[in-house]
Amino acid sequence: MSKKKVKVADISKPSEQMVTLDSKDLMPLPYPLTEDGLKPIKSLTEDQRCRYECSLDGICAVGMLKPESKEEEERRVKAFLEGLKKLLSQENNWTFLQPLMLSLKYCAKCQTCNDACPVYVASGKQEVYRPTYRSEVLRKIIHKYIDGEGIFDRLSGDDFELNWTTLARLIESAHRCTLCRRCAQTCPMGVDNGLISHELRKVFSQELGIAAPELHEKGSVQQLKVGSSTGMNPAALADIVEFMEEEIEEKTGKKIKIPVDKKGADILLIHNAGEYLSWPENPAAFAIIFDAAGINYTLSSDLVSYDAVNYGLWYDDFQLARVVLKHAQTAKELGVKKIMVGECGHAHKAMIVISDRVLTGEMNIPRESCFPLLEEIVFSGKLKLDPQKNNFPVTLHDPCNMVRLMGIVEPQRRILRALCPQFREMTPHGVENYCCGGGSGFAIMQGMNFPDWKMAISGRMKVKQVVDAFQDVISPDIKKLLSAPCSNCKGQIRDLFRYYELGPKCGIGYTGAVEFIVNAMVDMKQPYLDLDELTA
Amino acid sequence: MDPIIFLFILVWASYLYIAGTYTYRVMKYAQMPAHLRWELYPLPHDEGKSYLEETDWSTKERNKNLLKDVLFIVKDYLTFFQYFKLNRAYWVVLYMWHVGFYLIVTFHGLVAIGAIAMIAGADISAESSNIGVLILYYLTLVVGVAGFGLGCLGSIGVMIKRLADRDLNLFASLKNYFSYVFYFFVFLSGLIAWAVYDPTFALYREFYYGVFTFNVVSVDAALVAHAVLFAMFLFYMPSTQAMHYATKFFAYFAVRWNDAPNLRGSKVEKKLQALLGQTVTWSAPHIQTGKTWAEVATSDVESEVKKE
Repeated sequence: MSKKKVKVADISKPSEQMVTLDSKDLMPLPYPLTEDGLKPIKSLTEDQRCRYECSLDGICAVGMLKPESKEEEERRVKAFLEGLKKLLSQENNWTFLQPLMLSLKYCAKCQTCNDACPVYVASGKQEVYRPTYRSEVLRKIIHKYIDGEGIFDRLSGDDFELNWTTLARLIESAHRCTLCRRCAQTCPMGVDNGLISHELRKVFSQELGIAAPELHEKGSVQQLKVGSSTGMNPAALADIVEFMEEEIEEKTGKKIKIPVDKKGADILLIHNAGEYLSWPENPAAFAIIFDAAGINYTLSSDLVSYDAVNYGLWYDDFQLARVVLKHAQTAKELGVKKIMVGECGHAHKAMIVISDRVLTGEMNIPRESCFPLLEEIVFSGKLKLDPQKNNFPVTLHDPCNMVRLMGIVEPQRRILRALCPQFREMTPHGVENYCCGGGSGFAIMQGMNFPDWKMAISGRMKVKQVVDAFQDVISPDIKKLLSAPCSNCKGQIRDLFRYYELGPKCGIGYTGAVEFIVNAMVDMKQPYLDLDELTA
Repeated sequence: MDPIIFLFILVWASYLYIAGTYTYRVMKYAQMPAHLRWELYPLPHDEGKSYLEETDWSTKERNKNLLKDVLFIVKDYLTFFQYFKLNRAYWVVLYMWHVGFYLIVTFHGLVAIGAIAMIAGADISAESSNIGVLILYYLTLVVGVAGFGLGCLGSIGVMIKRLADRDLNLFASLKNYFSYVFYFFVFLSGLIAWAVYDPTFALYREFYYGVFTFNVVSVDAALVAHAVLFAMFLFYMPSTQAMHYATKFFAYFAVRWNDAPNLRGSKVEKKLQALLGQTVTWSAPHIQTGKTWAEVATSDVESEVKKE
């Protein structure tokens, strides 16, 4: 990795690549991953380098094609400036204007936040990944091209320029931040560099129509058109529900009818649709628990409303609102008392907190996390539970959206502490947790060499934490599990575990949280958690 | 007209300017529209238990201990404990510097009170038999000297730290360094005026007596230099980030700790309905420019892909 001093103005100076990543500079990983941590990060092909914008660090996250002409570059720069003015206006950006202005204007440039950023630290302190770097670039643009330069700017001879090179690097830079907001948590001034990344993504999306395809075309647009960002349609959902009912019968001996579109139910339960496709045991576990506890709930087969995801949270306020309004509309039509979000961190945040000020009147239906109810069920005595069935080492990952950004810290912990005799915390945990590295959409962004970057850098701190948490039982012969109560985190963790071979090398597997409850139920015919399979 | 009258006018203008600009900016932030929630835990007022950890939270009373928020922010203003915890080396110089600012402002307040007391006929001196006057006299002395001294050390300390620390100097601007030097001279001028000419601050009080009464008073050059520099300091401050004393309040209370839910029929809901009715002009293909926020958010996705 280049350790040269990178100045803010350097972002505007055209070069093939601003910085070069070298795996030897990355944060070391603990035993037994000491060597694996040095895998080289895949380079783009020559063809990809020619076609796509990747001059920040040789990584391509957004997959933005290079403009075909100088005129096109200039048109985009002009459009960006127009968008920036809208971002700073009350009419167009009431949604985040006050937090944004406070973060733009009052950074003391003390760099206290830097060491809180897992990407910056894991990268070996790569300059362009500092949480403050992209924020400073944006401040410079606003200062020079919107507010107007002052005498000090003219005297300093700053050669910063807003050109296409700057913008191409800036949008990629906004996708080197997982929006975990750990940096904001440490800022004594209350400045939020995560928010600045979010708002940068918004200008590109809402003004220029540029966004990572996995988030927009294949994400929120697909969800609104087809019903789910996974592409799953209502017929596929019906098949999966039937499959889950069969699986439940096989494992529990119970015939459970999973309620779908049940009018007048108390709760509309919405899962991340990725669970149905990749981890159906998770929604099935909810069905088993809710059935056993006598919860009056329903799933929905309405377009959009069988998928809790809301990728707009990460890049576009309107896409966020469109999705959550569909969720609320379905809840209203079903006449439920509340909407409950399954194990999906960003859906928790989007539906319960962020959208709180988008839903008004009849659409303002109470929305809750699944964990308080699950905790009540576990401690109510409605289920017969035997913690000895979970007697193996277990640790818990805290999804940023649910924990640091919503304060839902304890319910899931109390469940695991009660049901897993060998539960241990990772360090740090709770509101100070580290992101899995898949936050802000990274978990689903799979273009070109970005997955390699996620594995080597953004997920590195989480891998270190998990391995450290199990260091006393690190032998692969001792099977152990990481509970990750978030679908997107699980996606990232699945990829990380494969990349670092945590199953074969350390005997570590992963699952959600509800699976531990079902595994502890005494009337299960067979273990719900197959440790050999999960740690393979 | 005696030239000192111009100095009095300058002093009044500097106070009015800083009060006016700060008030304007605070009002500007206070009047910004309600925004989407963007809180960040932990929140002092929920004492480690978010209401979102409860079932049926929307039907329950929320426990909100506002005193905890206030104590947190007051403690941070007074001790910079967050810097102390996270960035100790920087805290040492930063804290000295800021205590210097707190004290120099307090000093001027005390001098002004002393001048008003003089107008009322009090004799502010160590010989006074009035306990209140004595407290004012010695407090002014201690606060002034400590403020000028710590301010000098802090200004130099912060500048050295920023020059020596690679992380800090990478993001420093010419204006940062100008500020450190300028503030140093503001503090130093006060220190020199005290040490050489005005060891009890009696002359400075006399000067403020003149500022309030517009009576001509005799002052020496060092005192004039400090008075002018302090007035310049008040004119300069609004162009810097020093406003973060006030904006930090918004950053914490209105954003970071703002977990107030939007309940049906609430005042927040009414404000939001008005905001949702604003016209937007974003230009991306999936946004219908010229329609209201609510219309764009409720439009069908098929009809959104337009233009281009």
